[in-house]
Amino acid sequence: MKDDKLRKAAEKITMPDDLKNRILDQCSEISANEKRCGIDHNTVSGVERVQSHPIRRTLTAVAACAVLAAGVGTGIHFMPKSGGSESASSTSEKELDVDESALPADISVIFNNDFVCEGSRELTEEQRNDIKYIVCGFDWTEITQEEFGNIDEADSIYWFEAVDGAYIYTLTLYDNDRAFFVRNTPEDQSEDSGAEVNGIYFRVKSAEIVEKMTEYFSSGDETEVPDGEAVPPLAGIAEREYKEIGYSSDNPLSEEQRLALDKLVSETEFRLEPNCNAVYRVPAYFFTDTDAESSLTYFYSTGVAEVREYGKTWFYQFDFDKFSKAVDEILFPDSIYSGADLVCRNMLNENVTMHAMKLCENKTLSDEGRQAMYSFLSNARFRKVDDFDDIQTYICTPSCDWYSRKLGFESYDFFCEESCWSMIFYDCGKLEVIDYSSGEQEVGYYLYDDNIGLDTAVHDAFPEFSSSYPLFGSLYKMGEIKVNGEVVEERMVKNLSNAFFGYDYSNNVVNDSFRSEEPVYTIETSAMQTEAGEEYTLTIRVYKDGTLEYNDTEGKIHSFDKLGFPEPMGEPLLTFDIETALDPDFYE
Amino acid sequence: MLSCDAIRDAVEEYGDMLYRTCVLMLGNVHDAEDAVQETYITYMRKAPPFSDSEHEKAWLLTVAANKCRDMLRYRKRHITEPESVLDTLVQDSESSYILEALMMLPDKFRIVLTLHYIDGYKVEEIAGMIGKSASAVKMRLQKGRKLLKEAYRKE
Repeated sequence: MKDDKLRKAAEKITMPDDLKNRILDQCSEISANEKRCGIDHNTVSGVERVQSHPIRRTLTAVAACAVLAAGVGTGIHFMPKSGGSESASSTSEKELDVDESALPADISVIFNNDFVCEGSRELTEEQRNDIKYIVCGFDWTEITQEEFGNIDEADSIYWFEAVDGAYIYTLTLYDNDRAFFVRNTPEDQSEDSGAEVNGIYFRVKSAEIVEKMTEYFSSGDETEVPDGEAVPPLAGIAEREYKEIGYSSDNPLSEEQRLALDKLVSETEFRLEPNCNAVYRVPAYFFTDTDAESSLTYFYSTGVAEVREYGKTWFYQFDFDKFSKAVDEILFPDSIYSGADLVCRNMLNENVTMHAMKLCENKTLSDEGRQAMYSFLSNARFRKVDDFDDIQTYICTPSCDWYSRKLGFESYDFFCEESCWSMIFYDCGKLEVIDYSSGEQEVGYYLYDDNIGLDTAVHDAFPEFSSSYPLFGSLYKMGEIKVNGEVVEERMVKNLSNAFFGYDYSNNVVNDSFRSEEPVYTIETSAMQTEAGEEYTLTIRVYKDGTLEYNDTEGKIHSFDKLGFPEPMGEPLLTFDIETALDPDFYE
Repeated sequence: MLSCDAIRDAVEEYGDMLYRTCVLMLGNVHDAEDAVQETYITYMRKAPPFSDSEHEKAWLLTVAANKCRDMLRYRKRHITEPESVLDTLVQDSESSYILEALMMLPDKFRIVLTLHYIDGYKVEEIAGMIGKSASAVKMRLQKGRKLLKEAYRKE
C-alpha cells in the first residue's frame, strides 16, 4: 500500500455545495442579527445532544427526611445580605422586585417548582425566592450542547435541581465564570441512554453569581450550637458501618478504612463554632452510617465540617488541605502512587539517554537533571484516574512556541527511546505515562498537586529552559492579580502569566526606581511575605516600546530593554499577548 | 467578528480539507457537516489574528479536530448507528476500498493516519494537536499503518 494512494483517495472527498451554502447562510444570519441587535445572540446551531450526567449523590428517603428534619429543627434561617437583618416580610417585598422576565422561560420553570440542592437538601420558600432574586440579576445566554461541553459536576460549588413533569432542571454554579442551567429528561441523564435528546442549555459568564450566592448563604443568622454534648465528625465510625456517598455510587468503607478515618479525625483539630456558611455548597466528602443513615458528616473544601445527627447540627472548622490528602489515601489506596513507582526504570541509568521536551524544544537530560527529576518524583504524590477528557491541546506550527503559549498550553514531556517510555506533565496538574516496552502501548493517567515542585525540578534540571523563565516567577501562583488597578479574572491570569514567558531575561539592567514614563500596563500582585518576613508587592510595568520593569524584594528595579519576539511572528508579541490574555472575547 | 466575505474565502480555501478530515475522523457525514459548520462559526465569532495562511489553516484544522474529538468522546458514552458514507462520497471502488479500510481502524489510529498522510502534518505537530507525545504518535502511525494494510487486504 502506498501512502500516496491514501491521500489521493481522500482528495476525492469534497465539501458538498449545500454545506457551503448552509455555512454562508448562517454567517449572514449571525451578521444580520449582530447588526440589528448590537448583541451576541449565540445562535450557533449544532447537534443538540445532552451529555450523560453523573448520578447525583442523593441520600435515601430516610436520610433525606433526617436532613430536612435537621434543617427545620435547628431553625436555619437565611436572609440575603442586602436585606441585612430585616424581617421575613422583606422576601415578599423583594419578590415584587424580581423581574422574572429577565430569565429565559426555560429557566423560570425551575423557580415554579420545589427545587432542592445538593444531597436532596430542601430549601424553604423564602430561600427559593432569594435564590431566584440572585439568578434573575444575570444575563443568561442559550448555548449549544457542544458549547456546554464536558462539564464535571463534581467540581461544582452549588447545584440545584427541580423536577417538572417529564423534565429535570438543573442549575450548576462553578467557582470561576461558569454557571449553567440545563433542561433534560431522566432518560437523557442515564449513562446507558443512546437516544438523541433535546437538552436546552443556558450559561452565565460571570463569577459574580457564585460570589452572590456565597454572600447570601454566608449572611444567614448564625445557628445556635445545640445543647448537650457536641457530636464530632464521623462519630462512632470505628464501631459502626459507614459509607462514603460518591457521585456515581455509594462506597461502603472497610473496617481498615473506618479505623484509619477514626484515627485521622482524632488527630485532626476540629474547632466547634456556630457557623452555617458551608451549608448548601457541594461537599468534598460526604459520609453517613450505613444502617440508619442518621449520622451525616459533610466535609467542605472551605474548611468547614458539618455533622448532623438526630435533628441537631454542629459545625467545625479544620485544615481541609491536610485532611483531604489523608482522606484520599484512605479512600483511594489503590489510586495513590509515589512518583518513584511511575519512573522509568532507566531514569537513573547513565548509559541511557533521557530527553525532555518543553513545547517544541528538545533537550537531553543531564545527570543533575535526572537526579532533580527523580528527587521530585520520589517525593510527589499521584492519584490514578481513568482518563483525561479536558486537556486542551493545540497544534504546533512553525512558530509553535508562540502558538502554544498564546493558547495557554504547556507541558513537559520526558521520554526515553531506548526504554520506550514517556512521561508528560501538563501544567494543569495532570500526568500521562506511556510505556510501550512490551510492544503494546500502556497508558496511565494521574493527577498531581505539586506544580511548584515540578517547576523547581524542571528548572534545576534545565537551566537552559530558564532563560525564558520570568525572573519574577509565574503570576498565576501569586494569588489575586491587578492590571491597571482592576482585578483580573482567574481564567485570564494563566494566560497573562504565560505572556511573560519566552523573552530574553538575560539582558537585565538594575535601577533604583521605575521610569517616569506612564506604562501601558501596570500589573500588581497582592501583598506577599518575603523570606525575611517583610511585606512585598510585585509590580510589573510594561511600556509602549515593549520595555518591561519589575521590582524585586529588595526594592531594586530590573529593566529589560528589548524583548525577544519569536519568528516568524515578527510583531510585538508582548503587547499582543497581554491584550489577548485580558480580552474576554478570547475566552468565548 | 469576521465578515461573511472572509468566511466565504475561508470556505473556498479550506472547506474541502476540513470536511475531508472530519469525515475520516468521524466516519459520519452528518456529524462531519456539523463539525465543519461549527468550526466556521467559531472562526467567524472569534476572528483570531493570523500572521500567515499556514497559521489560519492550522487553527481551523485544530478547532475542527477538537470538535471531532468531542463528538468521538460523546460516542463513547452513547450508542450511535454506524453509517456507511463512502459510497456516496467516493465513486470509484479502488479509492473507496482504501478509505473503507481506514474507517475500520480504531479512532486513535485513524486520526493520526489522517493527519499525517492526508493533511500532511509532521509527527511533532500531530503530537501537539492530539495531546500525546511524539513517541506515542510514532507508535500509533506504525501500528496504524500495519492495521490499515491488513484491513485493506481484507477489503
